[in-house]
Amino acid sequence: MVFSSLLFLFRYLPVVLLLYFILPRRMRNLLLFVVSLIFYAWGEPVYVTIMLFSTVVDYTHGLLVARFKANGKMRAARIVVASSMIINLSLLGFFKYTDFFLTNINALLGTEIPLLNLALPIGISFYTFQTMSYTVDVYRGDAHPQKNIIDFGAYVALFPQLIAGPIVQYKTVAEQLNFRRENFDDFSEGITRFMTGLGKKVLLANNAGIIWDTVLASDISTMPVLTAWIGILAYSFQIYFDFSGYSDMAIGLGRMLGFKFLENFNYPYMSKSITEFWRRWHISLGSWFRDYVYIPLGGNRNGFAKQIRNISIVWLLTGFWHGANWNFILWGVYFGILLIIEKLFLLNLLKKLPSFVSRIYTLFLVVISWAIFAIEDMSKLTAFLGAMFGAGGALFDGTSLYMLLTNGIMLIILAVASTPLPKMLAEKTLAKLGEEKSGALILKNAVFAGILILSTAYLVDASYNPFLYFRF
Amino acid sequence: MNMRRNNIITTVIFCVLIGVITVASMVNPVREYSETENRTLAQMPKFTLDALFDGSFTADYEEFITDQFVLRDKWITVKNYTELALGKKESGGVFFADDGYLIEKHEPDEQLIDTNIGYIKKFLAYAKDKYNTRVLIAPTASLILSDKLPSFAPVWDQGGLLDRLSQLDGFVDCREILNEYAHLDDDRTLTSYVGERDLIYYRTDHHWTTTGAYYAYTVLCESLGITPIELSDFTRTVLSDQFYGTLAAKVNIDSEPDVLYTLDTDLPLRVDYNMGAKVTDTLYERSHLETRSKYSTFLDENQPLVEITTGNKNGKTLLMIKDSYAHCMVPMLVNHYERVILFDLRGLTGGVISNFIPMFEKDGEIDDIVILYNAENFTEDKNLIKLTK
Repeated sequence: MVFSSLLFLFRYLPVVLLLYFILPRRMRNLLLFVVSLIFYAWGEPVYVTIMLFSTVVDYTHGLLVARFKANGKMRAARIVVASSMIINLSLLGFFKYTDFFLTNINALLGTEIPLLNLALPIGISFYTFQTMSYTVDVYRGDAHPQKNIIDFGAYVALFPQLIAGPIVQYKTVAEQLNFRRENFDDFSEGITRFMTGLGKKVLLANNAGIIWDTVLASDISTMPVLTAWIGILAYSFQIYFDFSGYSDMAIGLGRMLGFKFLENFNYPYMSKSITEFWRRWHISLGSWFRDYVYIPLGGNRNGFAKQIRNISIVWLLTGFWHGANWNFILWGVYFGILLIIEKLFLLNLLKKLPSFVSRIYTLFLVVISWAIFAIEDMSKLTAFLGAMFGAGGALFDGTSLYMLLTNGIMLIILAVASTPLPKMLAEKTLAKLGEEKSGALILKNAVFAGILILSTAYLVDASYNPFLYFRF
Repeated sequence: MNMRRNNIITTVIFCVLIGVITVASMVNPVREYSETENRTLAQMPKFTLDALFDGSFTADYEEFITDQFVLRDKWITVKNYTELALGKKESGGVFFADDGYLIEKHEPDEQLIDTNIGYIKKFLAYAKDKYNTRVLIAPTASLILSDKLPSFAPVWDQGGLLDRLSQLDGFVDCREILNEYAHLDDDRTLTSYVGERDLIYYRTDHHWTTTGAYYAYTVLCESLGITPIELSDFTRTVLSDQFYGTLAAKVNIDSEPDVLYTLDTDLPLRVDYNMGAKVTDTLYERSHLETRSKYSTFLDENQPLVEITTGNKNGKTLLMIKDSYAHCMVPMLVNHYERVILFDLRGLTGGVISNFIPMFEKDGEIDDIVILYNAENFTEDKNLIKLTK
């Protein structure tokens, strides 16, 4: 199930909220566990067992690690941690990467090993990372082992963050699992956050996606420069609003239920360097790789050469995590190289430049990266990158002007919405009206109700509602 | 404390809003069919364990909720007006053109064009000595009314196709006359109604109007050596002044209805559908006027075989191989023949040359053959191969 659907908004959500707040506190985790399984099983009735398996594995591994540690058997504890990692990575490897390796082996050796053609279990890249890091945290002493399997199951399956993150580390919600206090302030905060995310996804990302799909469907070999740029800019907006919208909805839903998840996006397109971009984009993934790969490898503590090696490993993995295909590896390597160059000297230089120059530098490189990310076919990718720089022969044609004319307003809205401007404006207006006064209350609720109504209208006429993060 | 009050109010507003829409959408009566969209709507899927585990139940259920959502048409209208406000010039493959025209955005299959031209050539080679054969590929609104399209609207090269076809023996080119009458006086055509000058294409439908068909008929007649009847000599009957066509169904925004009318004479007719399956004395099936697809009134939608016998005792027979563009022209053409036979290849299994022509030649010679398609349908119809068999 996805949040941006009529089914979720007008069937699942009201029923879940009603039950949740009717039930006494001690029953709420059980309810969350059960309804989250339904949420997951709705689209994946069979694969839900894999998630349950991963849950049971790390529940028992967590307990074992704690017991061995308590008895001073550090070696045994380490073996258990390794076992958890092997099991989770095998699950991920088997379902996500087997066909990729088989295809490459076949291509390399001329063999014809049949592919598995398995559908990717939804969210597997997220929940395996979460359960794995739980066992590690218990080993490190960053988290207490969860003794109650229902509570642990509720954490793993927790529907707000189940499918597309943010990657919620156990230690950040451990206490909330058992001692959260739902209240009107959080609930109303959660609603506005959820509506913001819904609007980003349904009204902005989907519309940007339509533009990108139209561009990608046309002939790349003769594509004018303008068309290619309209397309890739639209995709850049699509992926940002799709993903950050989903994170907003997750954070908002969590908030309604009394959870406080960490932020996942912070206006990434305002960044003044790639280094900064990755501190603002998919923050929970960056933190995960930092905490569980980069720092264990030694981080920047063992000299510059080792640091370069560590950055390379992290970005190779980050790329590969995003999808089992060469373009994702290339995408990761691309960022790895840029980050190393920035570490070497560029960052210092960028700091001296005017903001708009470093912003354009960053945006340009990020937009190029989205082309690598979006187009899996390498020859198509080269052709498209070529078209962006004039290989199509023309700067523009009638079709690109038509696209610009009919999508111009949308593109401006998308651009403005990627900046903190709307938020600043809203805060200023509300402050002027008097934050606690009725005028501010009416305005705020009217805006969010408007988003809900418009989003519903777009969902009822749902000819286009893709979800980019199903592949993870 | 005011902040707390505000948060409680926000919470209540959204719980009520979502709750009301939820309940309304659950008690909303299930519809079989949407008149506005002109299609059957998804129904509650049958629950079986198999369907649950292969995922089809949940997928069908979501489609059911979406199709049966409370006030569905209204939501879609809200969406379409939002799109218009955002400067969109098209929706669902339909351009919003000037003067309230909806014009289809067609994407032709270049390969199929070549194939279909090949079939036409092959048929002409077979027919040219035996029959008086004409090919009328009717231009559509995206060519004739191209001046009304949004700026830079990407349209397919219909002119190029018609140029290619005009090389064929017996090709009837209606571009000039339709162009002329479509652009006589734009102010008047906009306000026109029956009695004044009529539109050449419907604003809300992909067909040409009966008047559009009339002008094409005059060109066809001249090419066949027949004297066409004067427009004023036809009786004009309005079938409906509330005609919302296929294009209006695709975009679902408020548009002015079109007027659907016939141009007729009082010639007695016997109309035989599908070898005696239904026999009437009229070319119109008025039960369609109660539905959304009112254009189907002409010749009862797309029937595979229609044989019309008229009160003209001139012994002449016309065979038409056609799509629905022909339907509003047939009432004019019948005036020049004793027998008119219509083939709709989409509904026929078998070959025109080996099965259907011989079948009808048993009852008397065929004099004229007219192939009539609109240019857009011509580029996507996969049945023309039956012409050659």
